[in-house]
Amino acid sequence: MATINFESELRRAGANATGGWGRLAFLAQRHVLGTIGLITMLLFVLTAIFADVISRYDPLTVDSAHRLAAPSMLHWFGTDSFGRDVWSRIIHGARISLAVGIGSTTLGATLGVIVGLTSGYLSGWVDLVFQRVTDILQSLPLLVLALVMTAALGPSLPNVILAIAIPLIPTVARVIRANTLALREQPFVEAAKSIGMSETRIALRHVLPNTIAPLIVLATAQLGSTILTEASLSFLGLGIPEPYPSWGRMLSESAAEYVRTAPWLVIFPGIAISLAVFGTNLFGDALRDILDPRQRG
Amino acid sequence: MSEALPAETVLEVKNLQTVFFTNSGLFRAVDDVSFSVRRGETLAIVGESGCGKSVSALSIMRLVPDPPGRIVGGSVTLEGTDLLKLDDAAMRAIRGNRISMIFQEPMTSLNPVMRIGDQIIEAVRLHQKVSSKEAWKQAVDMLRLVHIPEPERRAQEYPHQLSGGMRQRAMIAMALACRPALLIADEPTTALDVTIQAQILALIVDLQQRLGTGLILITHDLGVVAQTAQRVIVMYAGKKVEEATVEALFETPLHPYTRGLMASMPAVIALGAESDARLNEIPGMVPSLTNLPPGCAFAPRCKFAIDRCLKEYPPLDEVKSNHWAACWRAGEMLEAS
Repeated sequence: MATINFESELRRAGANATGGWGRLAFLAQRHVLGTIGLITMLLFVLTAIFADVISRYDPLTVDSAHRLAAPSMLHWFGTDSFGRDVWSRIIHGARISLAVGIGSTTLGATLGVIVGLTSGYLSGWVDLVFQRVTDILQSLPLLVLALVMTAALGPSLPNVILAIAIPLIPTVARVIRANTLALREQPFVEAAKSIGMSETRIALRHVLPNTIAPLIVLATAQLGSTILTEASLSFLGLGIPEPYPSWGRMLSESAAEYVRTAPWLVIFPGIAISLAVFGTNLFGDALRDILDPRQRG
Repeated sequence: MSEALPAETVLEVKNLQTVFFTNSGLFRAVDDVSFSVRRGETLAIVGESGCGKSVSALSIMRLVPDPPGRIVGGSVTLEGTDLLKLDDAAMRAIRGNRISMIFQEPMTSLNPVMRIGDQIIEAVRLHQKVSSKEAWKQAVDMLRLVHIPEPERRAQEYPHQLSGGMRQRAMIAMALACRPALLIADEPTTALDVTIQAQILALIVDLQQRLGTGLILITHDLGVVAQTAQRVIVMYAGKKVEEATVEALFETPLHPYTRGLMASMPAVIALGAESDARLNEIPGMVPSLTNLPPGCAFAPRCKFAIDRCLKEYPPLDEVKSNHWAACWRAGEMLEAS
């Protein structure tokens, strides 16, 4: 009769690893899709950091002799109507997309946490006012709000980040407020009061850290959608100004005119956008599973 | 300074009145209750759910949720200071420092995302100016004091890595970290396994004796009272109905409600009656506090009730020396026993 040594099986699978690489390897095995998402995201980050090294041409240099060249060994992804190398532009576009994605998600999440935590912890009239304002913000579609804001502020990188961040606030604030409402009734909050802790300190030291898990999940999910919003804004001509490469703008410039004659101008930026969003979503899903306390050992 | 006067009164509660304003009206959760605790003494507060035990404790801590609750009268004097007259900041300096509280639910009374050691450190550093290194050392010492094995390692752990009994020990460590003059334990063993209950109680009493802390033990378990307390007050519907030393109370309970509580203890039946005897109970339910009868609140459930009980509330009389009861027939009870 074959005996199974569970102990060694578990050790081999890395279930007992408590820290560092062993634990990471174990999680990677259990969440294959999440790992793919993480690798995709890491690839984009590395691309953005080392864009100057990887790209083979300057993304802004115009070369009229090679306009609309098809993909070849010389220009891997072809060239656009100004003769600029599409590969180089996509690689440099990763910088813009990541800057906008990470920048606006961080800004939106931070402001959302402040609003949500204050609103949920203080309740009363503060909560009432904050909630009505977020209601109003939420009744407008994210893209429309961002559109109006960039149109008013003018297209530039900080303005785009701001315009995408503000519509994120209500979403984050809602989640944090709901969590705060549940957490402040927890006995450990009363216990903290009973050792003489002030309300502000309780909110920051006890309530906030307990909302981190849902916040991380929400933020990764939003990261994908902010990249998409930036692409949409640029597609509509209100995103990052010319001549800087943005995936959305690359799509919009070429979509109508060249989709039949030079399809590589549409396909490659499209793939870049899809991959980035796909990667963050896969990673966010896995993160939600890992951080869910009911699934934790 | 703590061992100087063994009989010194630490806490004096006088005519405390706490009310709640609810949709169905005003109800008096604590109605004109007075008691005192001396240094090193254990006072037990006994009663059914909803009799005002916990609200009394929260009133002393000034942690009654407001709204809907409010302390409307009386005084709570701790070491000569009337706590009800202090502002919020001064009250925070007292909480966790001079009075501490242990709660019923050790499973949820610790923050799940903070290390045990850090939570004890918080209690220390809120009230003492010590370096974080010194505070960590104190936290480990406190864990050792409450008999947690390997305190250095446990201090690094998170609450979910500890058992219920261990967590309650950690809560005790946190409560006693600043050597308070008064410790309030609100049903500290209710949520624990029976075997652990005795250990935790023994620990609380041992530390209280060693540190000279006054202890208010809130419980509905008369067995716990008999083991640990020196004096007992029995509460019913927000009022104190009987007060006596433990010996006197168990020997001659004077209020019919106290008698009912004692008769409902399964252990008492097992001693006297045959094994298939039915467990005694007090008939009826605690009356709604928004709609109390004009007379004694216990009269509708009392088998000794007379007409007067239904009309007039009995005063709290010293029926015999150091033994008070609020019952029109307490004198008869004493004679009969």
